[in-house]
Amino acid sequence: MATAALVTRTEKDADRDLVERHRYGDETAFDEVYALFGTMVYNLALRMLGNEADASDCAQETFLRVHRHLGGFRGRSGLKTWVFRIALNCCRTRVRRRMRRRRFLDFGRDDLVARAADRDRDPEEQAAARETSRAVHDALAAVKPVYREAVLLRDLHGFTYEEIATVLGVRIGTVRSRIARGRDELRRVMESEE
Amino acid sequence: MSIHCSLETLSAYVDSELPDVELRLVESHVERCSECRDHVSRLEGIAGHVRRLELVSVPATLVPEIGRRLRLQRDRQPLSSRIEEELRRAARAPMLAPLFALVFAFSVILYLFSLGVSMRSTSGTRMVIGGTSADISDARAADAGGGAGAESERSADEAGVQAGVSVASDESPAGTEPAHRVLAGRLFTLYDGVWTEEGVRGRAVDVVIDVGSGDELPRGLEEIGGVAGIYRMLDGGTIVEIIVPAPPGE
Repeated sequence: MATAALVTRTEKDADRDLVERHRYGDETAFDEVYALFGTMVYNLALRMLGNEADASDCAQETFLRVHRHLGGFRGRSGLKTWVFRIALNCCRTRVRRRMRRRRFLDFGRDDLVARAADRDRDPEEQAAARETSRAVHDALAAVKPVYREAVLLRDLHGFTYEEIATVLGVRIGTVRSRIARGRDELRRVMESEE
Repeated sequence: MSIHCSLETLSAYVDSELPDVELRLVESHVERCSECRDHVSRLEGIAGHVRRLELVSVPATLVPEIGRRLRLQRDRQPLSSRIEEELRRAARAPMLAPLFALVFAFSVILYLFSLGVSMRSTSGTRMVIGGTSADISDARAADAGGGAGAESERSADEAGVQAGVSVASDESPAGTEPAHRVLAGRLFTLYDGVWTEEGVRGRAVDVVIDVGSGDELPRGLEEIGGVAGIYRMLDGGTIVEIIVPAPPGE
């Protein structure tokens, strides 16, 4: 418990330091924020939106907003949850826009699976892993966005329920329920495709 | 009939996100209930699949593109808001600006103070002739014409009192250079509180009174000379020079 408190305090201090440096016009502070969360945000957007082009646009939009508002970040939540909240808002806007245009999510496979780091595996294992990854990636497209985001935050990015509640702006009970339903939907989709 | 755990509870159990009491209850139930155990293993499998999705590396174009858009955004910002932003940054910068402001304000105050001192030191002796003094009743002043000055310059000494005028004095500070002033085109110097014009008929003038038009000259004084507008009179042992300003337009 003491260790957890210590970690939290250290993280908060680090967040505060980054924000202060950004306020004073230190551009390297923003670079550090990008280095910390760039890959995670891009991957969240990729799994939420399903294709690289949209994920790239969404990640750009997220970090432009982060750059614009970082000086006003008050540290009530962690920097990580704040950045992910912005990223999810960008994703939701894009998803809604697509829904309005009555278009299905373009869950193009690109070469995501092939590019996933699968070094140190023998060819058979690589093939199997690619197949599973592809199946999961496709199945995620069929899960409701509201459940999908909860599942991704938990299982892909390892957020705690409390952090997810902060990012989504809901109660922990709701987080529990969304994750459970999301996993259940994902399981059903995957089983139906087998 | 057996009671099973809800999907939500089992999902939270998989994530170790249950409160301690609930966790122990669910744990013991799952050990006994094969149906719930199956659910748990299915949930673990799904969570594991998502967890094993490897993080895809960010496209190489993403960072340069963000940099480009940031520069674009900055350039598009109106000048006023850019200035505002700079000011905000300056205000947040270490407290150098207030320090400079303090030093500047202090030097301004110092300058104004020194200016005030020098103005006072050069203002010399000032005396007001009431013009209605009982002793000033000679009608000769009326002939000299009207000026506007009701104020006159003179020293604060008893000579003024002898001349029957009220005196308000401020003397030049001790240790400073004698003050000079020009009256009716002639240079006078303040010595020991007395404005004098040296070398006039071999003797200094003791008191110079600058009267306004309509003021009367002191009575009972012996006129010992003078030119137009300047009367030199003798009051006992004191030489008094009375200057009547020239009428306007002359």
